[in-house]
Amino acid sequence: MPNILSPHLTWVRMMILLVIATSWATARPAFATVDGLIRGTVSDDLIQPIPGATVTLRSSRGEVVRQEQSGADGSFTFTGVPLGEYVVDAKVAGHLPGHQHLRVGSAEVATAELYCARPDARAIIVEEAGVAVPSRAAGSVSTLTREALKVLPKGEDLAITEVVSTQAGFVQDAFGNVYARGNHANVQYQIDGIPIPDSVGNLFAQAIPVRLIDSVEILTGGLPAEFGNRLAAVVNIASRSGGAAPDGLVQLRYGSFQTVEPSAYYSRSLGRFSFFIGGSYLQSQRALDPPAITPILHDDGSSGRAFFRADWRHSDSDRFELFASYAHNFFQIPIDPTSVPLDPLRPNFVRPVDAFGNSAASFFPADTDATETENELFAAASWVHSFGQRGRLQIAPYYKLSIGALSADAPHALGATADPGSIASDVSRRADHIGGVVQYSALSGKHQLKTGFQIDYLLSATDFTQYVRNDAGAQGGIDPDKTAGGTDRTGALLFGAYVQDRWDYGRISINLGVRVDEQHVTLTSGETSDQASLSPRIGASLALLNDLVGRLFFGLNWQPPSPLDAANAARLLGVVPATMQVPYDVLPETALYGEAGLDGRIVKRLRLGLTGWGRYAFNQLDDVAIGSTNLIANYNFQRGRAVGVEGKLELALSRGLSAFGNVSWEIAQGQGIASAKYLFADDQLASQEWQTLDHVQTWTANLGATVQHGPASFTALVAYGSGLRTGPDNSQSVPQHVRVDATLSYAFDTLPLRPRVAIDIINLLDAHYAYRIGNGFVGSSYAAPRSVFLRIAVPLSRAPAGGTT
Amino acid sequence: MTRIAACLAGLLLLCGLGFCTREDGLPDPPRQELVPCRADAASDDPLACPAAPDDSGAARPAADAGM
Repeated sequence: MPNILSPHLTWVRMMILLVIATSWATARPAFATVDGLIRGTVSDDLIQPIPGATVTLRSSRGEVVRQEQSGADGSFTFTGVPLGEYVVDAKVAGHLPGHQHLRVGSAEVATAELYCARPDARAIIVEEAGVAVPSRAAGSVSTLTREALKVLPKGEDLAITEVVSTQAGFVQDAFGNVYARGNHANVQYQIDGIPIPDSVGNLFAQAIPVRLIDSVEILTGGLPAEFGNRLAAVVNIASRSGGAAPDGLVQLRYGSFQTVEPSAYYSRSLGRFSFFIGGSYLQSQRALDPPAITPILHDDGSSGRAFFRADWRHSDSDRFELFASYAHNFFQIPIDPTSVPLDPLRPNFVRPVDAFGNSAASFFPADTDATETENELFAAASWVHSFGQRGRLQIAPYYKLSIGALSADAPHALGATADPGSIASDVSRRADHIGGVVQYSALSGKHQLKTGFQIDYLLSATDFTQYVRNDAGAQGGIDPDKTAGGTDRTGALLFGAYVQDRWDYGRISINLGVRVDEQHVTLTSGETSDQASLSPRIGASLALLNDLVGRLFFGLNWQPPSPLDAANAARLLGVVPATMQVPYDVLPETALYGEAGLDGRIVKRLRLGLTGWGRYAFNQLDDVAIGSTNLIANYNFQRGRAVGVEGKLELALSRGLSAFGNVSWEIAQGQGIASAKYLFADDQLASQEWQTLDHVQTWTANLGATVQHGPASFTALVAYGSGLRTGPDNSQSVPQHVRVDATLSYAFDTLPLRPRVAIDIINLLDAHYAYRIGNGFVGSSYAAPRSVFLRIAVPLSRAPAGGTT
Repeated sequence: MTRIAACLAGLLLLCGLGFCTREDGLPDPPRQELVPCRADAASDDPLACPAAPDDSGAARPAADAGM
C-alpha cells in the first residue's frame, strides 16, 4: 500500500477536499503553525477569580509581547504567540502581583495559573518549579530558546544541526548530517511557519546559525497533520526579530585548523517597523570531515552566511514579514592519505579490504584539486492577519535558488597514478523553487483547528560532463574520444493540504488530522510520474497526575523522493552511460508510525521522559552519500522496519545550574532493493534478507550541564555513540566514541567596549573516532580531534549583559 | 569573580599546553598496503584479480551503495 490514493488523483478532487476542510475550519476558530496558545486564570489567595486584572506577556528578555485584561471568570487567552519561553504576570489594584514562567510550543496549549494575593492574606506561597511542566503534546517535542542555545559550546556559531544532534532520537554523522529515529535525513526545516524546500545535502540547515534563532521546536515523532512530506522530524524555527531595544554584536572567532570566522548582527525597532540583520564568513583548513584524522589533505574551505528579517506591524491585526537568507560554501574535496595507487610493476596486487570487510575507497592522485561550490538563496514574505480570538491567517509565498557545482579536476584525477578505466565527472545543478503556504488556525471552545495548504514548484537542470582515463598513455589523462556530457532536466510540482483539530478536554487532549499530498514529476524525455497519498494521524495525551502525562500517537507518514537528487549518483559515478537518461523509478515512502510515552516532573527540579516508537514502511527511502561530498541520491527498499526507545531528563538544581541528558536505543532495517538498481551489485539486488541500515547507531547518549554565575558561564557536553554501521552488509559498527565539549565565557562589563570572551574546546579528550567508515560509494569521514577556539565579541548596544558571547 | 577569572586563566593555560590537535605526523588511520589478489575470488570480490586491460568497466567503483 505505498500509494493510498490512485496516482491519477485529480486536482479537482483535492481542491474539493480542501474547500470542505477550509469551510469546516472557518466555521470555528485559529493559529499559524509557528504560533502557540496560552490560556490561564487569575485568582486571589482564596482561589477566587479576579476579573479585570492586567495580564502581561513578556519575552524571556523582559520585553512586553502582549497585554490583556482578565475576563469575568478571571480567565485570559493569548493566541498567536511565537514559540519560546515567556513570563506572564498579572497586576490588580489591592493585590500583590503574580507571575509564572511558560514554555510555548505549537503542539500544545500552555497553561498559566496566576495568583494575586491580598496584602493581608495570611500566607500564600506559590513556588515556581525548576523545570518545565510535562508536555501535553501527543508526540515527542522539545523546545529550546536562544538563552539556552547560546551557552552551548561554540555559542551562537553553532549550526542548527549541531543543536539538533544533542536531542534524544538523533544521530550525528559527518558533514553535519543528522538522522532521526532510524531515518536517513528526512528532517523538515521550517522557518516562521514556512517549510524550506530541499537543499544540496543539508546545506540550508547548516546555514542557520543559532544567532538567527529566537527559539526552536524539535518534533521527533508523532508529527501532526500540519507537517507533511517528511517521515522523521520537524525543526520548527522562530527567527529573531528586532526588539524594543537595539541589539547587536560583532564577533571574531579564531582557533584550530586556522579557522577564522568574523560575524555580526544588529536589530532594532523603529515604531511599527523592526528588523534583524546578520552575517558571517568562515575560513578553515578543515572544511569537510576528511577520510583520515591526520594528515588532513586538501580540505580548505570557506563559507558565508547572510540573513535579514524585517517586520511591519501595520495594525494590531495585520503583520507583514520579509525574510531572506543567503549561503555560500566552497570546499576542497579531501584526499584520502591512506589510499595507495596500484603498482604497474605488481599487476596482481590489489588494495586490501579493511578490518570490517569493506573494500578500499576509490583512489585519487594526491594532486587532484576536486572542489564543491554551493550557493543558496531563500526569500519569503509573510502576511499574518488576526481575526482576534476567532482566528488567524498566514499567507507566505517564497522563492529558493540552489546552485551546486562539483568539479572533479579530471586532468589530475585521471593522471598517471589513477586506476586504469577510472572515470571522473563534473556535475553542476541549478534548482529554482517557487511556492508558498496558506495556513488558517482558529479557536473555538475547547477546540483548536488548523487547516492549510502548501505548494512548491521545482525547475531544475543538472549539467554533467563525464571523462574517462586514457589508459593507452603512460601518463593517463583524459581520453577525448570517450568524453561525453548532457543535461538532465526535472520539473516537479508538490502539493499538500491538511486539516487538524486539537481538542483539550480536562486531562485529555486529542489531536486528530489528515493530509493529502501529491507530487507530479516531469523528466527531460517528457516522461511523467505522479505520486499521491492520504495520511490520517491521531494522537492523544492524558494527564495521569498533575505532573505526569501519558501520550499515544498513531499515523501514516508519507514522503516523496527528491527528484532533484535522483540522477546525482549516476552522473557522478558514471554508472549510467552519459547518453542515457537516468531511470527515475524512485517511489515515495509510506510509513505506519506509532509511539507511546510518559513525561513526568518527578520532583520540582527534575523531569523525566520515556518514549517507545516503531515504524513499518512500504518503499522505504534511503539515501546514499557520494564519496566525500555533500551530494546524495535516493533509492528504495521494498519494506522497512524500525523500533526504538528513548529516555531523557531535565534538571534544574538552582537558578544558575541546569543539566539535561538523554539516551536512545534504535534499530532500523530494510529489505529488498526496489529502485535505482544501477547503484548495486547483483548479489545485493537478489538478496531478500532484512539488512540494518548504515545510518543506524544502536546506542546514543548526550549529557550536558551549564553553570551561570553573573557574567560568567560554563557548559560541558558529553556525547556517546556506539558507532554507525559499516561492513559490506552493515552487520558491524564503527568503534564507539565519547566526545567531551566545553565552553567558558565571560562578559567584561566594566571594561571599555564591554567585550565578551569565550573559549570553546571541542573534543576535549582528543578522542580519535570515525563518524563513518566507508563502504562502496560512501567515503570514510572522521571527527575532528581536539580543537580550540577563542571568541571575542563586542556588543553594539547597551543591552544588559548576557554573560556570554 | 576572582575565582572565575582564575578558572578562565587556568583553562587558557590548559588550552595553550595542548593547543589544537595531536599532529604527530603519523597517518591515522594507517596507510594501506597493496596485497596479492586472489585468483579464485568472484569478480565482484574486492580482492579479485584485475581484469584484462581490454575488459571494459574493470575499474568501476564497487557497486555497493553503503546501505
